Amino acid sequence: MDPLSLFFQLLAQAFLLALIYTLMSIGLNLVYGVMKIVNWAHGPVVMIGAYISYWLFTLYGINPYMGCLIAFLMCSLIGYAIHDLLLHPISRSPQFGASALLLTYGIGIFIVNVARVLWTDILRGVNLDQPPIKIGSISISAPYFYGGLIAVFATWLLYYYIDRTMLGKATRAVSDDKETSELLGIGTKAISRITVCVGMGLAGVTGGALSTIFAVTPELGNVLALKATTIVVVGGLGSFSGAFLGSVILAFAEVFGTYVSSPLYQPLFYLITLFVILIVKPKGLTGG
Amino acid sequence: MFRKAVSKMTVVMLITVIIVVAAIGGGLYYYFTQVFKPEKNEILVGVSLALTGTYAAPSQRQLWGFLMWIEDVNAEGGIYVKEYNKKLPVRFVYYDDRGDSATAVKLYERLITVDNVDFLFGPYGSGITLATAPVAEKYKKLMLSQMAAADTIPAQNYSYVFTTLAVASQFGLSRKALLDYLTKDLGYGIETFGVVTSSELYPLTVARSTIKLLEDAGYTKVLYEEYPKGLTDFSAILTKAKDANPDFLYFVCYPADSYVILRQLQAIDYKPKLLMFDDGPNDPAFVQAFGTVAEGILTQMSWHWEAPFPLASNFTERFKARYGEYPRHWSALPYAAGQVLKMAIEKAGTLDTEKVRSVLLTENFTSTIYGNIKFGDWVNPQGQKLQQINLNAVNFVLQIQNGVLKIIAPKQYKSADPIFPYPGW
Repeated sequence: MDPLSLFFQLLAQAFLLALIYTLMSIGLNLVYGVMKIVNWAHGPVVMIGAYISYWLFTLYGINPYMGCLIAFLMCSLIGYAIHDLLLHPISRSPQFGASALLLTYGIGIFIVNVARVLWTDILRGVNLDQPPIKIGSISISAPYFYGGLIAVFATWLLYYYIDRTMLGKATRAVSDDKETSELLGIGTKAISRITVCVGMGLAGVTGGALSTIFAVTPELGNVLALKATTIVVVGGLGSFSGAFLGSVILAFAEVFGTYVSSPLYQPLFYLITLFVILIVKPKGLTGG
Repeated sequence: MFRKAVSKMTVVMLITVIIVVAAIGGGLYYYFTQVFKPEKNEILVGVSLALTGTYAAPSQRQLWGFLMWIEDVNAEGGIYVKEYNKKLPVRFVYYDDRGDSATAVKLYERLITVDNVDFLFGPYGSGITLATAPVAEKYKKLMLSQMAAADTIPAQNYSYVFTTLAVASQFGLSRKALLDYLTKDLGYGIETFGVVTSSELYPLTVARSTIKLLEDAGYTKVLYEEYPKGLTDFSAILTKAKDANPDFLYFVCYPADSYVILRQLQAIDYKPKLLMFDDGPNDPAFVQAFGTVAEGILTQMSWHWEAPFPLASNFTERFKARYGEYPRHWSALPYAAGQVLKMAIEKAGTLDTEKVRSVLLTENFTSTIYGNIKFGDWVNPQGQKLQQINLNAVNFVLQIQNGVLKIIAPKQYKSADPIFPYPGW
């Protein structure tokens, strides 16, 4: 492979990876923006989304990309339950941030173990038999490509929702100043409920898209969730453009870093990136 | 007043009584335990398994293997022990350690000191075996380890721990057997190889011993990459591999990794002539997930139902009828370990640990469902001395052919001719 097409090949791979990372992190970011909590149940719900998509495909032959929609709805319901039953009752606690961190962490462990009991640790995968997409000398993985498209579409929808709708405006208001919003008559409980639903729904969509790329196991979300959290912190908590920027930086550091050295240094690359960015801009790239 | 109540005489009497009672009790205890051997009605074997938690699925299958062995032995009336001049049924005591080493250590202590088991089987996995083997060693109880493939355990010079399954460094032998078979017998001309391995201890042992054996045999290494646990994107490694283009591309990976790697190999449209994943394709779900792309991919297992071992097919049929799936090494090796224990006890004619141990050291255990088992010492390709491992232990190289796994190497065990090169997509 000549150096130029090699460069473009790696570039394409890094860019698609960045899109997948974006999809992983926007839901997490949204929930942080409004609730000011890091939702550790995000990864396990991604895994649930992947299973939903897998079973719909295996049992009913539903295309996993369509399955994403159903995963969105079902994971939103999980979000609804998590919010109303667990998060909301402790939301007035003075240590809400810390309590919610532990709480969602526990919810995550619970979800992973329920999945273990229901579906065991057997690896599963969706077989779509899609040939790679070729553009000139570079070839792109079809599951990554469609995953990337879903990421773009989901991000655009979310952006539209937050930026252009009344509900989105209210969400932004709650995110900016919860108490003032409440005084102005915004139903903050409803807003945080919807936010958690949308956030978890996005986790479900992520799972659906990932089911065509990774092996579907109860552990699926865990590794990725850690990366998504890093991305959110790098990009700036609560910021969408930040989530995208963080994803691009980490994906490029991973792909190019691995190519020029060894994959063993991959965690080093992304942790060094994290440190440097946090030292230079402690609130993340787009943080004020 | 009180001084009167407890007179000197009473104290002397009391002490005398205590001494006499203790002496008689001690004497009786000695008599019953050492001189007069109480009638032995059963042989107790104990094991701790990871029946819940991360390793639940394989360890449950390990239990099935033991249960089938116990049932088979007891159906014959038990194991004949010359010392008692009769057959003793085997009673199986097992506990659940949840895959946790600390729990397993306590359970083995319990098996030895409370349940008084005669013999031990090893638990599930190298980590837990490493933690519990010292317990067997401390109490001088024989432990037949059948689910720990790390070289670390036989490298500890334990006297009471015997390993029946192929350890990681023995895996390389069959990789070399595969390439020799393809090159020398079939003339496919494999010259170069590349290894991509997870940087965890166990995969590294497999990778390094394979590389050493292949390089010594004259094959050229053109790629070597280690990757950390939790890597989610392999595209850069695979792009490097495509550049190096080895004839034999070998991934020593965990099951979930193989899914991402194969998809990303497809993405960059790179088909090596021989493609092997240590774990992943050896699970039926892999074929379901990849369909025709899985065809021709190589993987490994330390036991296979088509292996030409005595009673292997009989075991397979009964296992399938009972549990509804093909037995894997998780079930077959515990069963084989049971067979070894039975033969060793019968040969020793006693349940005495030392005597059974010396039989284990000297005897060749033919006709187990894992072939001939012969324990001995071996220096692995890294120069480590491994003690009391199964010198005949084989790790099969398998290939997916028409959606099922076939043995293709070492050639004396093959159940099908290899597909070459990997057809791909």
